[in-house]
Amino acid sequence: MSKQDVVFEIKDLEKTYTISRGLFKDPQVIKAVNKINFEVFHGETYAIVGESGCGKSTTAKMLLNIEEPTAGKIFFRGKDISTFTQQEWKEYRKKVQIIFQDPYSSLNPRWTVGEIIAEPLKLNTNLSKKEIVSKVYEIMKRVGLEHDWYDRYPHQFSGGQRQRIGIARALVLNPEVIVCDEPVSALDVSIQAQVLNLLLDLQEEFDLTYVFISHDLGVVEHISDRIMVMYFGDVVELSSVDELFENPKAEYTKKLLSAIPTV
Amino acid sequence: MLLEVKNLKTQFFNDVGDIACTCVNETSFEIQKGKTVCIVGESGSGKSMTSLSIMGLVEEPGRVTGGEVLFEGKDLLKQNETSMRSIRGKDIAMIFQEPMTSLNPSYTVGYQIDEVLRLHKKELNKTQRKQKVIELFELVGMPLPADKYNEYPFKLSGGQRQRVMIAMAMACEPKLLIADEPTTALDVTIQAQVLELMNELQAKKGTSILFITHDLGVVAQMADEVIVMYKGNVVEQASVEDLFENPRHPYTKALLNSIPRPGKVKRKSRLDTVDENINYLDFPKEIR
Repeated sequence: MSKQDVVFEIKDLEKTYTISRGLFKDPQVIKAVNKINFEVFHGETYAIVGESGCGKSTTAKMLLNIEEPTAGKIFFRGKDISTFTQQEWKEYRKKVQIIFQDPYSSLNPRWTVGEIIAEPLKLNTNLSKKEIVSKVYEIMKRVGLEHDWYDRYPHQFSGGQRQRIGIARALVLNPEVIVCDEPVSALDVSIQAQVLNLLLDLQEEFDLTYVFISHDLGVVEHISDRIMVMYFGDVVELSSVDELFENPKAEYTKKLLSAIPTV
Repeated sequence: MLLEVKNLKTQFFNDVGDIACTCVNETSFEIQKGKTVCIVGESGSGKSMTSLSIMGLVEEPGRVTGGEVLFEGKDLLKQNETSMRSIRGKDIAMIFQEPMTSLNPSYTVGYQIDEVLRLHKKELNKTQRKQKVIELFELVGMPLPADKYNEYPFKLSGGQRQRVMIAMAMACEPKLLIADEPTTALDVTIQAQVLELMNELQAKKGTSILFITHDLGVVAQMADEVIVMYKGNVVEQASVEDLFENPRHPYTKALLNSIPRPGKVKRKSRLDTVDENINYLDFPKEIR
């Protein structure tokens, strides 16, 4: 891989939380992410797996600058994001988008579908109202939302449809990277299949890079190219899908693989 | 035969008394002693409603409107509330999905299990009951069982809380254990432990289990018999081997093909989906 193809380069990334235990006790320091290193290449699906509390979502939040790292650096296309200028941040926020786990709480219940999908365009582009509306319709059609649903509210939709709204919102600014934080774990299996199919189609069509966070190894095996296994803030294994499933090296990965009930 | 459900029908009614929804429609199945029957289906398929109907826990505006639930030959639908209370917790126990919301946050877990014994095992005195609770903790593999008696639910991890729920359910050695998505909220490695625990307890005590889940992987690991529900109806019923090797109903096939199965589905291929435009009830039931 040439330098050009590296989207993210993560170096010694660390996040600690301190919990105050009262006036006379020393605060407790919890390492959520412990000096991790990895690279994400253009066009791939990079999966981060692990159980609750392993630091996978914290890592994602740091990529999106929702959480500030305690130490370490994140390079986006070769540039350290902590040195970004205001203008560069604006660009970065367009290029890196997120889809959340829970399609019930990540959409504003008082906004219509049209307003939700149009908001990133209003904030980040100089398009006219008319152009925005036509762009929203275009993206709605692409993710499988019907034309006359524009004025409906999130509560009128099923879980799978709401996740499509979330995907449309992430997609509307033509991003390069989408961070998917457990995008299908709240959905029924049949709906999960629809959303996974959509994500695969969109990746091909728009040349997207996914950072895919999940605890479901079946889903991860199906969709990703490389997998990083995390355990209590540490990376315990990082390899290609084939290798991880055929020849897992870390003890924890073996344990994780043997724990999945298979059909 | 431990439990025989015959043509069970549970319906919900609107304000003027018309039928708003038939959540369980003419469902029939049996559970043998010491066996596990799984009900599988998507949200809204009526699987939880079936278990609540068996326990007599359907709340207004819902009502069981037809059928029989024969537990050791006795129709549970005809029992009054007092005799149902003596059956619930003693002969039939239930484990729910979310252990945090089904435990009372303001009592210690020991006290909450003790309550079951106070109600159903009146012959035991206080010391004997405490001894029994600690034995139950040991049975479900709780670390430091004696210390856990005085812990509050919030101090325990998800897996430990689910162990408390199982200990509570096993307190009176019930003949039937109804487990409604008991591992859905847990991590996979913890899920594996809980499932193994349930299998062990079944082997030791001969408990029958009615297991409700949407996870076909869990079904494959736990079930002897599988019931597939769709929109309140049973569409397929078969032994676990038959169901996975030779699914017959189009809905079952669609459901099985919609999960990414390592080694069986080509990586990054598009998965089959359950078609929302097809009413799968138009196909005949497949009951083996």
